[in-house]
Amino acid sequence: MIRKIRLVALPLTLIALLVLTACGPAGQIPVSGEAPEKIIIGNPIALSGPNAPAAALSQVPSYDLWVDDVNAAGGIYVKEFDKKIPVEILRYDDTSDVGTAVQLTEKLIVEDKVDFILPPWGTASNFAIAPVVSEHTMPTLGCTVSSKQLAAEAEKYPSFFGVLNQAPAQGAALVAVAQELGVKTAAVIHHNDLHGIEFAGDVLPQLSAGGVDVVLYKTFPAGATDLSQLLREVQAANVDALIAFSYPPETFLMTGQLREIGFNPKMFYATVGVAFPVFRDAIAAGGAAEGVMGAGTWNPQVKAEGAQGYFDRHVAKTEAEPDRWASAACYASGQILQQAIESAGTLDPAAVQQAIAAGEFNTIIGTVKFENQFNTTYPGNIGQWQNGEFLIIDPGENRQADPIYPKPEWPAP
Amino acid sequence: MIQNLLDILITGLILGGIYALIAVGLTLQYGVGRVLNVSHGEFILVGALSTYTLYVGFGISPLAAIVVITPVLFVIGYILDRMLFNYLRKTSVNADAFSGRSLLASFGLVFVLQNLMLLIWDANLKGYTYLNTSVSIFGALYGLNRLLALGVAVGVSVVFYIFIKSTRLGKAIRSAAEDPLIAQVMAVNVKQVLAICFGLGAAMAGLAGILYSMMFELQPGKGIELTIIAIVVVVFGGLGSISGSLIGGFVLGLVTSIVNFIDPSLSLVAFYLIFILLLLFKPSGILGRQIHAD
Repeated sequence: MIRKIRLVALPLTLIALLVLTACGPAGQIPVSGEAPEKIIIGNPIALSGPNAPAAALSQVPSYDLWVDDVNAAGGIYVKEFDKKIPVEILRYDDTSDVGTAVQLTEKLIVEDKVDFILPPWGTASNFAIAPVVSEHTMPTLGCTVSSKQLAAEAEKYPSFFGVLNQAPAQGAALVAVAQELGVKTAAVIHHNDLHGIEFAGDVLPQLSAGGVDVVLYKTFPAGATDLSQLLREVQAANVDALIAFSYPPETFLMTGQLREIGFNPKMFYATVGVAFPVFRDAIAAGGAAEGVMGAGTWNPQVKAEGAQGYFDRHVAKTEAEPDRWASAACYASGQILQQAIESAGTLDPAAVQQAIAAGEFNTIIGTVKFENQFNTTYPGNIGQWQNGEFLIIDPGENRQADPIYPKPEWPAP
Repeated sequence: MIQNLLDILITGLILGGIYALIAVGLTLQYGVGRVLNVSHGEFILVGALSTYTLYVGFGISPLAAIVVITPVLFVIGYILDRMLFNYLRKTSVNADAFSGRSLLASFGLVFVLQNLMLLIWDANLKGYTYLNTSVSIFGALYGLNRLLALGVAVGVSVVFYIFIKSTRLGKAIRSAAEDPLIAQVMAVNVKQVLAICFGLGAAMAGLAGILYSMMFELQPGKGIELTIIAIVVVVFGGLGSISGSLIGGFVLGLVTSIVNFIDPSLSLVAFYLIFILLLLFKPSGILGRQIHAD
């Protein structure tokens, strides 16, 4: 008899245990209306491949720092749940491939069911994910995208917002500075990539209209390994200004080769790469950066709340300075997302998207307000290295220092 | 006018020297060992990034780094051939099968090396300035580090040429390249010779990387571009011909330089156009042997 009871009791106990385990404590079952433990933000971005250096410089550290800062304060306050909820980034490597970035964005939204998205690096990838995030009404703030075409088509992609300053504003600032300095002749060179073509299309007519004679205009292939002949031609043309629309490898190459051939233009401007700390510290080390102008721009001295604090925390966390262009915009896009969630009082993406479109945000790049989904103000559009800092030389109230002209001689190596 | 011509010539030679330097290691690996090592560019980057660390981190001059980096890479290359490519050689039914399998294996190496570099050096842009003083030649200034690259490319090619032509090991390498089976019969330790060749190729990649790091900024992911340049130069010069690689590098450098003078945006087009023309009309390369079908 006892044996029989034992035989029945054992399986019964096991079944009872199984049932209990399967149900689990009631608290672990997500119930609608209950606060999530974390706000999960998906981030497909280049951790390998050709775009990885730029992403590692301008974007990834800023996002991570923002998450640290938010969580140190307990999280983002969400009124709907009346509580602060910490933030976590779910990051995948898009291997610098646009197609992969699109797939990962879709996967993060549909499969991983993230609450929000932080975009990948670069104009092309941002352009490519804009339709995807818009289809899912997932507000996304691009901080490394500069494209007139995307801005022109913005209404087709209502969930995509641009935080970074765009080519027309930068071109206008460049022309204004050239005019102010009394530049009479210029050589314009650029890589034959979209960046160079868009900039040239904008700046060339403005230069001519502003009385600056473009004596020499030439293009070169993106990723060129030698620019010395082109630079000798510019030297022979005896112009006041050398203006280049180029990506970092070409900007760095041309800076080195200008020094090699002993050519010191009175004004030297290149779009991308000059604003990077590596330009001052390695490419044009020993004070050679002094007087070089470039596109950007942001630095810890800008009139915006928290700018210096961000700079210091960035250096403390990564042992590297942020760049003087997009880094701050990427941190600011986190701030915008946070403030939009707080003002919407919910994690519902559609409501947050509306809050971004309509709101005004206090960030380390100043007050951000979107018009047609693109940020209307930026601390600066043209910078110049002066005494180790990339100072804003835009004409007007944002100017931090008068431009140095002519550019000082290259220091002897 | 004469000044312009001189400028085109000197710039072309310098550029050609850089091309040749990038390619010379692959010549040994592909020409002799029949391994189309597409991870060659990654080896160059390993050399370049190691130079960066030694110089910026420990103050060791890039020229002194040559005695550290090239032997280390030689050993790595040697071991890699003995362990990986030798195994593939042994287990492949014929030379064609080996070509395909070794290509795939080296493709795998690309990813291994790329990710190792990302782990060690992270993805940030790196660079330093060294020997970027100018030297005046016929009134025009040229970067000393570029002239150095040209000098090393010519020097290495001459040394290798003499080594291959007149030393015992050089003759063994040539015979192994010509016909591994006959070489074996003639008591050449083919296994050993091929591993040495691969090791030398890796060491040359390291040397190219050291000089490359003096001229360009560094980033993991750049390797494949270097591999493509190397493949073009090697095929252009003729498989397995060291002097062919040097001449091939110079021809491509000069063409790029001439086109740069006319319209810089066409230089890449010219680079590949001349490559296509060569493949159409002289597929064995400038100094290459006739390619036999097996």
